[in-house]
Amino acid sequence: MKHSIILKMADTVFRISCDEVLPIAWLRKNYAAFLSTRRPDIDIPVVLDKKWEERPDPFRPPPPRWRDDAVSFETQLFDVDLDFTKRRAAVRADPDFGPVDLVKCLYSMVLMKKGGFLLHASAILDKSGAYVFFGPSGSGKTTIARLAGERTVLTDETAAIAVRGDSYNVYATPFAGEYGEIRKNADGPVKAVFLIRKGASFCHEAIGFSDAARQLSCNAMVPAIDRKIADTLLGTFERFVRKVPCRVLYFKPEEEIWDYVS
Amino acid sequence: MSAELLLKAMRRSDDAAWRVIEGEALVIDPKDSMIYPLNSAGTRIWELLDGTRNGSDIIAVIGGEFDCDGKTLERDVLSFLEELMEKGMITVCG
Repeated sequence: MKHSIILKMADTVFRISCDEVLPIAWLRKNYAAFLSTRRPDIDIPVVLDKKWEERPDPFRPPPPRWRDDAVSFETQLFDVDLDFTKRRAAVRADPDFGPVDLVKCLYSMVLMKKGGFLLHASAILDKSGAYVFFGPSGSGKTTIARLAGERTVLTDETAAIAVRGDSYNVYATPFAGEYGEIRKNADGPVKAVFLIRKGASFCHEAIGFSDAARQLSCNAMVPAIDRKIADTLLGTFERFVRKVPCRVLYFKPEEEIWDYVS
Repeated sequence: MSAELLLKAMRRSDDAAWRVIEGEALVIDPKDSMIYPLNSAGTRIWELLDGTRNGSDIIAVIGGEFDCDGKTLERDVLSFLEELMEKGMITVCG
């Protein structure tokens, strides 16, 4: 294919290629911090099908088809055949497809397969490690990112959680929210995870493993799954909450938050 | 539908993935990628839906294990079973 780009996200390197320049140019411009020269782990050739048949909106996709180490699934604007053994994801897409959805979808699938997940969260890295703040829209993820000061904002919208050794790392992703473009592709060990709520002062509550797993599952980004991957995902959530401290954090938008969480 | 739920055995869908953590279940329905958290009573009902019990059986078990009013219990259990049935997460056996 004529045009390609290599992106490194978490510990996986993706090469996306296409005969049309626009999707690749868009990624190169907006995901600049994630460009890589490393050898790709997964090749993703994208074929734009000019005869793509318009699908209903909303589109109810058929269940994904998992077989051994591969999966095929459909969305409104693209179909994917992802083979983990061959390290290849063949994509057929509507010419008007958006690269963000494709990249996020594939990234999520790869993460899940490896025992991780994408989380609706902000994540801030300091010298001692990373803190993850999750919650629904409006809970304050971007607010916390804007209070980071000298610390590294890994993300204000979508955090990638992945296994690292016997614990977990959180990684920057290019899927930014109102904070704006993420400029550093960094990561760090997860020191704690906070379910955030706005309050008049700082305080926190402990939550049990069950409640923590439930809250995480409600804020995780889960694309096309079947029974097998769903089982994997549930195991992932349980292992994660048993390994990483999880609290409810009430906070006010002040920089004292860092003294409090540490 | 209530009469059928009371009299016929029901079982969990083979497609639903679930896991109990500290007495509370998380159930994922792959059809829509939705994740359903169940409280302790809902979890126990879910565990009982193994194809050998009807609604009456389940109500009897729950009544013995949880402290709840009889009429309320029947209404709540049937409501929960109906919801699971509508979502395709359980089916009637036979």
